[in-house]
Amino acid sequence: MQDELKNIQEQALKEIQAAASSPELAEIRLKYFGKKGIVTKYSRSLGTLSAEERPKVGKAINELRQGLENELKLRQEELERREAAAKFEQERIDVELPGRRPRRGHPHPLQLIIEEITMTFLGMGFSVVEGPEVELDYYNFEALNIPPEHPAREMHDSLYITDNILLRTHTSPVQIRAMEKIHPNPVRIIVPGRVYRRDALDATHSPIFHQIEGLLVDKDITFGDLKGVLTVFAKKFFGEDRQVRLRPSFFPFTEPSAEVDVSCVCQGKGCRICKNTGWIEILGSGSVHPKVLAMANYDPEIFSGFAFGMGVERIAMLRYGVTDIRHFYENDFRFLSQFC
Amino acid sequence: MRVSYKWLREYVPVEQSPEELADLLTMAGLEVDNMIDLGASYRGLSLGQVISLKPHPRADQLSVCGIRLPDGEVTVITAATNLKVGDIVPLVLPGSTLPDGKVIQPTEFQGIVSQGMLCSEEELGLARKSEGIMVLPPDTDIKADLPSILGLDDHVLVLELTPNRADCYGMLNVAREVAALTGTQVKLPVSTVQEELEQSIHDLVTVEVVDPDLAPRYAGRVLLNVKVGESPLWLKTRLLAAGMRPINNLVDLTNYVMLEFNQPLHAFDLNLMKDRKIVVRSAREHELIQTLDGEERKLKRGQLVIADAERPQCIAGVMGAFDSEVTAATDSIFLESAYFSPVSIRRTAQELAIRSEAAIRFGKGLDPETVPTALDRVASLVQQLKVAQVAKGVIDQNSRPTVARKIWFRPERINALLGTQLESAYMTEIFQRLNFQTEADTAAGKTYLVPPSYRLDIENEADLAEEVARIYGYNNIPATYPAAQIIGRLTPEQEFSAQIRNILLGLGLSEIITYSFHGEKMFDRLNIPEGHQLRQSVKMMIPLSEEGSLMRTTLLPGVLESLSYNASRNHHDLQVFEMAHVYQPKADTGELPNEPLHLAGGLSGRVYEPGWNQNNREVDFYDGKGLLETLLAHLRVEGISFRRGEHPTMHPGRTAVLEVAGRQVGFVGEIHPTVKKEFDLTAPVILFELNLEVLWSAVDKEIIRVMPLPKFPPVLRDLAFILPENIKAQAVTALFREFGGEKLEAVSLFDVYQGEHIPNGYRSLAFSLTFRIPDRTLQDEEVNTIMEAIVKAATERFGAQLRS
Repeated sequence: MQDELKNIQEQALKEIQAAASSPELAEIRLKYFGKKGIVTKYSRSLGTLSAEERPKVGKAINELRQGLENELKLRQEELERREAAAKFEQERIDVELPGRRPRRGHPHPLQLIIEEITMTFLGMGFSVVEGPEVELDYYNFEALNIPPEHPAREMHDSLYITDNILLRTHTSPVQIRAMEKIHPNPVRIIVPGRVYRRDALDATHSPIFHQIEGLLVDKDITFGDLKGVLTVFAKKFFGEDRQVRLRPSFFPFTEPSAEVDVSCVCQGKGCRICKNTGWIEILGSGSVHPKVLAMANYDPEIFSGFAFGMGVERIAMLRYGVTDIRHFYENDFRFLSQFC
Repeated sequence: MRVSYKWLREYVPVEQSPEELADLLTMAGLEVDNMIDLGASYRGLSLGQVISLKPHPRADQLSVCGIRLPDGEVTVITAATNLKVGDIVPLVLPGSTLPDGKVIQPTEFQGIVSQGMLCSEEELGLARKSEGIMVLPPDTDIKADLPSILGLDDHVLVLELTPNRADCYGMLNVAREVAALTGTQVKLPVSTVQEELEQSIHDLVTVEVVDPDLAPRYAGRVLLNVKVGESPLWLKTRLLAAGMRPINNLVDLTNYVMLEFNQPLHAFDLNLMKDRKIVVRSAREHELIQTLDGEERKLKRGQLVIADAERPQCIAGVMGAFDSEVTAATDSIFLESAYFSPVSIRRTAQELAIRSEAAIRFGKGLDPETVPTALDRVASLVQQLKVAQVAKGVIDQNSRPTVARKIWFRPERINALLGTQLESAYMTEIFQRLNFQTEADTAAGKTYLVPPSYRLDIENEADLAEEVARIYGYNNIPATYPAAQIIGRLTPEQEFSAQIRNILLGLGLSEIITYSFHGEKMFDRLNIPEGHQLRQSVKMMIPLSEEGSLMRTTLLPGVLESLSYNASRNHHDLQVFEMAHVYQPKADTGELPNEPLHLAGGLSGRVYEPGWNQNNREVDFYDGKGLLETLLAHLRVEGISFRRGEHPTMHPGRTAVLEVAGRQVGFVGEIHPTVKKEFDLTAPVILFELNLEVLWSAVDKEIIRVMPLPKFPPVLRDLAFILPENIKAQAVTALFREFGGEKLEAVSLFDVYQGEHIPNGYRSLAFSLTFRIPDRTLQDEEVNTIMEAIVKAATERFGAQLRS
C-alpha cells in the first residue's frame, strides 16, 4: 500500500510539472482529488482496513494529499504568472508613439512680464491699481508738472480725442488719480496698462505699448528707499547676480530723477544688447516732485515718495530675445506657442 | 551735443581718458550715448612730398607727380594745378580709404597707373568746396600722423541731453560741469573788444524791437571792413568735431561761439538791409521769405522775424534769409545776439519744419545773461583773426526783468529727502563748485542759494537735492527699504480677471493682445450696420491712420484679425482669447468714456490637437457654449441664461445671447458667413464676447459652504421623449423639477436625436434622472409615482410621447 501511494505520488508530481495550462492542471486535480479521483478512492478505502493499519495509512494518504495539494497550488501560481505574462505581451502597445494631447493655451509674453512684475511688487506691499486709457489732459500732463508748452503736449506726439481729452501717453496719470483717492493715507501702488503715442509702427516703436508704473508716498520716504526697492526688484527680476546702478536723469514729475540700469548678461565684456556699455537701461524713476505732491494735496513738507515706470515691451524684448516689437501684436501662433 | 575732448580740455584740465570722462558725465546725468574716435576716419591717409611734376604725355589736363613717402616713392596722376615740387600733400594709397569710406585702387590714366590719390580739403571733409589739392605747411614732417596735424586726433563724446540740461549744448557749460565733478577750475575765454572805429553803431543801424514779448533781449554790434574768407584750420577742425561744416570765417566764428556759449548768433549783411533798419516784429500773414536753404516760405502772424524797413531778412532764431546772407562781397555786418521766447521759436520751427542748430537751442531755452557775453566773444575773435573791424558801441535792448531765483537752503531737509547724512559744509562746497551764490538772511536765520543764470532748471529744494545727489554720486547713497504697514493684494475684481485667464489657458485657449483702435471700415467688415450702437465710438481728432482712427467698441476685430493672420499662414486650428477694455463714448463729449473690461474669444478649426489617434471633429456652436458653461461654473456665476439672439457679425440661427438678471452679458455663436469670407477664413469659427463687469455682478461671492455627502443610495431612471422640435430641453427639465421636487437631485440630457423612427418636426430627448432624499432610502414605488406624473404631464403639455 505504501508503495502504491509512493508510485501515485511520483506519477502525480510528474503530471503536475508537465501541466502546461490552468485547464490542464484542473484536470489533473480532478484525476486525483475529484469524486472518482485516485487519491479520493484510497481515502474511501480506508474503511476496509484494520483498526491497526487505518491510522498509518490514513496519515500517509493525508501526507500525500497535502503534498500534492501544495504542488498543485505552486504549479497553479506559476502557470497564472506565465499566462498573465503572455497576456500582457499580447496586449502590448507602442508606447513610443505620441500621446493624445489635450490642447493647452499659451499665455501672452507681455502678460507674463506684467504678472511677474506686479507679483514681485505685491510681495513688497504694493497694490495693483488701474486707470482710464482715455484720459483728461489735466491728469496726463498738468498734474504731472508738464507745462502747457511742453513738446509732449503737441498734437503730433499725442493722440487727442478732444482739446482736453487724449489717449494717455503714459501710466503716470494713475499716480494722481490714486493719490486723490487714497489721500491722506500712504500710497503704495503698481499700475500696469496700455499707453499711446503718435509713433509709426516699426521694429522698435508701436503706437500702443504697455507700461508699469509704481508709486510710493508716505512720511519719511527717501531717495535711498527708492534705491532699495528698485534694487530688490531688479535683482528678483533679472537675477541676484546682477548689479544695479542709478544715473541722474530727468522727468517733469520727479526730482531728483534717475534712470535705473542693470548690468548686462555679458558681465561688462560688451555685447550688442548693452551696446558695449555693460549696462542695460530698465526703468525711469525719481522722488515725487513736490509740485506733484502738492497738486494731489499731500503736503511736501510732511510727505515724500518715489515713482518709477518701465516699458513692458522693452523688458519682454530683453528677457525673451524678441527683436521686433510687432511680434507682440501680430499674435502669430508660431510666436505665441513658444510661451508657457 | 557733440563734445570734443581736445576742445573741452582748453577750458578745464581733464586728467581722465575720454572713456573715463564719458563715464563720469554719464553718472552725473549727462548721458554719453556714443563716443567717436575722430581720427579713425583719417587713418587711411598718408603724407608725401612732391618731388617731380610733369605734364601727362597723353592728356593735357593731367599731371604726373612723383611723391616721396616716408618709406619709398609712388607715381600719382592728378588734375590739380596748384602743386609745385616740394609741397607736402595728403594722399590715399591703394587699399586705403578716404574719410567717406571710399576704398582707393590703382587706376590707369591714359597708359600711366596712378598709385594713389591726392586729396583736396573737400575730400577730407575740411571744406564745403575747395579747389586743388590741400597743401600742408612746408615744415610738416611726412612721417607725422595726419589726424594730429589736422587737430583731428580727438574723441567726440555724443551727449544725449535731457531737457533740463539744455545748457550743456554749450561747451563752456559742459566744462563747468566737468570742473564741478572733478573739483577743478574752468578757464573762461576772455573777450577784449577794441572798438577801433570812430563810427558809432547808432549811426550805422537802427534797431527797433516791436515785439519784446517774443524778443525780450536783443543785442548787436556792427562790424565794418569785413574780409570774408576761409577759416583757419583750427577753427574748421573744431566745427568738424562738433558735427558742423565750415562755411566762411565769419559764419564759422558765430557757429564757434554758439557751440562755446550755447548762444546762437546771426550775421546780416548790413548793406542789404533796406534803410539799414533792423525791425524785430511778428510776421505779417502770408509774408514771404526765401531762407538760406533756398526754400520759399510763407509766414504766419505770430512768427517772429527780423526785418529791414521792408521785408523779413531772417526767421528769428530759426533761419536767415538768402538775400542778406554773408558772402564774399560783404563789407559791413550787423551781428545779432538775442534771447527769443523759447515757446515761440519752438512753434515757428515746427510749423515751418525747420530743425536748425539755432532753433534747437533757442527752443530749449537759453540764458539771457549770455547774450552780451557771446556777442563780445565773436567781436573779439573777429578782431583777433583780422576778419573785420568793430564799430563803436553796442545795442542791447533788454526788456526782461532780472529775477534772482533764490532757494532756501536746508541741509537737514536735503539729507531727509535723500536718506543721507552729509555735512552741511560738504553741501555748501558742492554748490560752490556748481557756481551757486550763497545769500544769508541773518535776521531770519536762513541761508539761500542762488543758482547761476545758465542753470534754468534749478527752481526749488528738490532741485538742490538732486544737485547734491549728483555730485555726491547716486551710487554712494545707501539703499534702504521703507517700512511697510500695508499689505499688497489684488482686488476681488483683479482676482476674477486672473482666474478667467487661468481657466481659459487651462481649457486650451491662448491669450492674444491686439490694438485697441481701428478704422471706420472695420465696422463694414464686421457687418455692423450704420446707426448700430457698436458704431458709437471714441474718435481721434487727428487719426493715426485710416486703420487707426477710433477706439474699439468690441474686441471682435482683434480676434478676427488674429484668426485671419494665422489662417493666411496655414494655421487654421486656433483657440484664442483677449481680455481688454472697450471704449463707449458718453453723450457729453466733455466726459471721459466708459471703459468696461471685455473678454472675447475665437475657436476655429479642429477641436482636438491633431494626432494619429485623435478625433478630427471641427468646432461648432456647442463647443463655444460648453466652454462658456464650464468657465461660468468655475467662476460661480449664477443665474445666466442663454437665449437665441442676434449680433450682426454672427450667424442669425446659431447665436445665443447671455443674460443675467435682465442685463445682457454677451453672446456666443457661429460667425456670419459673410464676415467669415471677409476675413478669408475657411475653417468653422465660433466667437464669443462677454462684458466682464456685468458678469462680475452675477458671481456668487459668498464663501463656499460644503454640502454633507449623501448617506443613502440614489434611485436612477432614464427617460426618453419624442417631442415637437420647438419644445426646449429647459422646459422639460423644469417639468421634471416641478414633479420631482426635493426628491429629484439631478437631471442631465444625455441624447438628442432626429432621424429614422422620429417623425419630421420632432426630436427625441433622453434624460438621466437621479432621485434621492437625505434622511432615508427612497422606495421604487415613490419614484414610480413621480415618473408616472411626469410622463402624464409631458404628454399633456408638450404632446410628448414616451420612447421605448
